[in-house]
Parts: sequence; structure tokens; C-alpha cells
Amino acid sequence: MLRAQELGRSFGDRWVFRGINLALEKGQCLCVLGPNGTGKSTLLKVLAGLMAPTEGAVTRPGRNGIGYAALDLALYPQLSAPEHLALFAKLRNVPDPGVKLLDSLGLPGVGSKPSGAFSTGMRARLKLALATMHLPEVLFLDEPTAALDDKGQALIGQTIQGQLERGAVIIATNDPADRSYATHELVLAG
Amino acid sequence: MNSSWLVESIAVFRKEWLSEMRSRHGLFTSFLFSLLSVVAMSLASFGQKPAPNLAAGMLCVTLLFSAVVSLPRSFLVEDEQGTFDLLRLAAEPTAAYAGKLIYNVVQSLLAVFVLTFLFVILTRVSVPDPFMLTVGVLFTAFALAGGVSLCGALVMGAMNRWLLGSAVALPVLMPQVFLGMGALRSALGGGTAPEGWQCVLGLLGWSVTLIASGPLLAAAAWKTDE
Amino acid sequence: MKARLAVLGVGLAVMTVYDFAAPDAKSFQEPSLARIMYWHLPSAMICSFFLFLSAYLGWRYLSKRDLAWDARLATSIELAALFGTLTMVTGILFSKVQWGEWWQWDPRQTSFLLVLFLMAVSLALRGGFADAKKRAAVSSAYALLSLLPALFLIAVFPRLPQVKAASFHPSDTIAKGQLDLFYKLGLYGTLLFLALLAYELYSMKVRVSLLKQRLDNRHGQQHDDQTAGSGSPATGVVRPVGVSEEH
Repeated sequence: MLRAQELGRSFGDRWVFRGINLALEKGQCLCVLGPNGTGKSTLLKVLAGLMAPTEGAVTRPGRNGIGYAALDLALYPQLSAPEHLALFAKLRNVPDPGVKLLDSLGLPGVGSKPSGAFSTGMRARLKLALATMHLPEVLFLDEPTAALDDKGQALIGQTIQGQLERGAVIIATNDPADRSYATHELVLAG
Repeated sequence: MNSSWLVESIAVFRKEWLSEMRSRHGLFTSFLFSLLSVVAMSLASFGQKPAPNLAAGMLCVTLLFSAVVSLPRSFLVEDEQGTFDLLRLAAEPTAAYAGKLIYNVVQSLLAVFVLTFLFVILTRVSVPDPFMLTVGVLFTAFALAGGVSLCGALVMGAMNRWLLGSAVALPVLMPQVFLGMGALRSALGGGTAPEGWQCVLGLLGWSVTLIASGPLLAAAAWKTDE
Repeated sequence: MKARLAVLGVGLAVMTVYDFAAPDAKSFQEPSLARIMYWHLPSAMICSFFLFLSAYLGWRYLSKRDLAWDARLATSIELAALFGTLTMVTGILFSKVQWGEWWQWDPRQTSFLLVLFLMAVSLALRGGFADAKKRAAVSSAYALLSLLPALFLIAVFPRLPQVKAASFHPSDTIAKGQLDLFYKLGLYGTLLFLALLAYELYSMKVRVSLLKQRLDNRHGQQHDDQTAGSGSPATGVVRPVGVSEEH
């Protein structure tokens, strides 16, 4: 499903990580752990194809096989939640899940409110909706519960369990609650 | 080009349109800059009707500067607000570029026709061949949108991207400026009709080249799977 | 290498002496100073060559994604800028001496200035990106994009009838065989040795860039080896937990 061989990424002279090998299969949940600044988010971006590796190679599913949600991923501030879903349904070539998905993710009645006016937690839920609406093979979650309340954290748990039935999950986190879903762990340390 | 590619491109265009219409301040600032340029150019003629050669040059330079300032916006704003990763996750790169290009073509067409109309009114320059002026300005709008969009796409992620975008676009647009000046000079009565139509043809070729090569070059520059 | 450089140096010295010794070109305002053409024209030809080579190298990088092609591309752009500047400087001197003004707004002078701007912004664009692969991709795409404007400014624009009529530049003196034998020999000889010098500069700079790339890689590896067990934050140590991860 997802493979990385001798993966490394540097910024200028500074290597963030090097020599990472992994293979992820259906039903597996990999937790990437490590102190701040060890490159957990960078590793997720490289694995998801948002950033080029400096060395090594990644084999991953195509564009529609990947879902990605991260704290630092921005939404279009002028677009509402249904407009985001409609846009990404067209880009992903899948039916628009509409308000049903928003309701199930705890975003009922957001209507035409632009995402720029959302709270951090609401944005996190919408990003989760965008990452999962096309039922990806591999779901990347960067600090998924950081901005969420108890209900939101339970929602993440349900999403991960649902995802593991059809594919794999990679989570970058230091939260013990997120670690409880892991079938595998990768500790990045300097 | 398949139907899903077209659907993706139109979805990106719609997103651009909605975002710009709702924020409006960016579009308003760009329009204000263009308007100021055309008024300044008209003022520079001190109430005298400029000769066709000079008028063609003034108009071309006004259109060029208003384009290099306003058209890279759709790419650079995406970069600045950090939404490009979100778009790249879902959109096919050439379709994402094409959607933004369509938006820029629409914006360029609106700006170019409004500015040309204002320029003709304000400088009181006579237009013996309005058809050639219309066609010349039409292809100028396409060439400007094609060239500036591609340069905007290339400088995404660069340091000083706003300045760099304009700087890299200017030399690339020089053929368009020369050809546009040739076409407009003839339309304003400063050259022969065959010379003017030759330049219009050149503009058409240049626009087609920029618009056709843009998605491929932008996608090649954005590619991260290496 | 040393022998090659020596032959090149001697060749260029011989051509310089020849260029000064050749008879004056009578048809010019200042016949004795028209000799600057021996350097002006070959510099322009070499600049144009590197410009078109850059587009080819850009295409090679985009199709291979190997940074060695980017090293060649960067060198090619730098040399195009160098020989373009030489062309411009010799042209400006010639303009002052023969036509009475440092800058004539001659259409060909102006179009070549725009070519030089094309080179300058290519270098500025490269400076805008810290990441080597992103820089290489963007620079390659721009080199390809520049190909048509460069072709237009170098080959098409100067030959447009209205431009030809307005320009002081002779556009087909060589093609029509109007150069006398002394001038031909001087021009072609200087072109040959300047081209060899350009090739030498190109291959030296590319070798240096490739060595630098290799050194950077090796430095990174050594740094990694040295700090792997010491807990340095500059490197990442992977400790996979689970059965299916390879290490």
C-alpha cells in the first residue's frame, strides 16, 4: 500500500531525517512519534507527496488513494464547508456527500458560513471530511486530536477504525490517546 | 483532455471566481492600479492627442504593467494563505493550472477591454480600424494571461515571489509587447493594414503557445514525486 | 588540461595580435576602431548558443530529474549572461565610436538588452529558491519558456522589414559574403578560440558544480554517521516498532 526506501529530507545543510524504511499494509496503523522538531510532519508530507524527498523513494497510491489532514493545512477562507465538499468532490471525481457528511462529523448547520470564520476545532473536522470523503487507501493524520474536544477525539477514533477496515492510517502524534490506535510505531529521534 | 479533467479545471475556476468575488479587495486593488496607470498615461500626454505610434506604445505598456501586477494573484494568494497543499492533494496539476488560467483569461479580458476603452476616451486618440483594435486587444489579453499565469505558477514558493513574478514575466512578454504595438499602431492609423494583421497573427500564435505550454511547464515545476 | 589551456591561451593571444594587425575596415566611420567587431559578433553568437543550450538542458532536467543536468543548466545560463554582457559592452563602445552615442535605441541593441534581461531574471529566479530540486525544476521550466522570446528577440525581430530599415546594424553582411578575407579570417579565428574558451569554462564550471554536489552529499552522509549515536538533533534515527517495517 505504502512503501518508503532510504527516505531522507534536508532543508539546506540540515537533514531533518534520513534512512527511513517502511512498508504499510491494509489494516495497519503507524504512529510516528518523536519530540518536536524531529520531522514527524515533514515525514508525513514527504510520504503523502506534498514534499519531494531529498533522497530515497516512496511508492504510494495515486492521488485519489490518499487522504491527508493536518493542523497546518489551510482551508479556503472565503468558501463555506458545503462549497469545500462540492469542490473536492469534483476534483476527486466522487459524489458530493453534502450536509450528511458534515452532520456526521459534528458540523451541523454551518451552512454558508465561510471557513475563515470557523473555530480551530471546526476547521479540523472539515479537513477530516475532505481527507476521508473519497474513501482513500491511506489516511495521513498530523496531530489529529490537537484541536478537538472529547466528542471530536471520539470522532477521530471512529474515523481511524473505519479507515483500517479498507486501508491504512499514518498518524504523527505525541498524544497517548492517538497512540492507542497504533499497530506499529516509528520513533524519530535526534 | 478528458471530461474529468475539464470538470476539475472548471471546479478550480469556480473556486477562484467565488473566492475573488467574496474577498474583492484584491480585485479592487488590481483594478485601481490599472485605472491609475491608464489615467497617468493619459495625463502624460498633457491633453495633446498622441501620435498613433506613441499611443500604441503607451497603451501596450499600460496593459502590460496592469497584467503583471494583477494576474499572478490567483497563484500567489494560494501560496500565501497556505491552501496550495490542499489543492494539490486533490487536483490534477495541469487541471489546477488550467482552472486558474481560465480565471486569469476572464480577468485579463475584462481589464484589457475596460482599460483600452478608457485610454481611447481619455487620450482622444482616433481609431480608424476599430475591428483590428478589438482583435489586437483580444489576443493581447490572451497572451498576457498565458504569460503572467505561467510566471506566477513558477514563482510559487519563492522568496520575494510578488516582485519576482513581475520580473520574470516582463522579458517573456516582450514578443507580445512588440507584436501588440505593431497591431495597435496599425489600428490607430500609424501603420498599414497588412502589417497590423501580420502582428495580430503573431499575437495569436504567441497566445496559443503560452496557453498550450503553460499547464505542462507549471505541472513539471510543481512536481514533487522524484 | 594544462596543455589544452596553454594552446587556448596562445590561440587567443595570436588572434588578438592578428585582429590588431589586420588592415582597417575602410567603410566605417572610425576604421581602426571597427576591430571591436572581432569580439562583439563572436560573443553574441556564443551567448545565443548558451541560451538555446539552456532550453535543451532544462528539458533534460525535467525529463530525467537528475541534479547533474541542473548544474549544466546553471552554468549555461551564467555563461550566456557573461557573453551577453561582453556583447553589450563591446556594442556600447562601438556605438559611441562609430555612431556618436553610447546608447542609440537601435532596435537590435534594445532587443539584445531584453535578451540580457532574460538571462538576468533567470539568475534571479534561481536565487529565489533554497531547495535544490525546486530551484532546478523552476529554472528548467523557465529556460524552456524563455526559448521562444529569445528566438523572437535574436532571430525574428531584427529581420522584420520595419526594424531592418530603422537599425544601424548590418543584418546580412556575412551571409552576402561582403566581408573581405582579412576580416573573415579574424572573425572566424576569434570565434573559434572564444568558443573553445567558452567550452573550457563550461566544462570546468560543470565539473566544479558536480564535485560540489558530490561533496555536499558525502558531507551529509559523514555528518549522519558521526552523529548517529550522539543524540544530535540534526539527524533522525528511526526505531520502527512492529513486524512489517523494514529498517
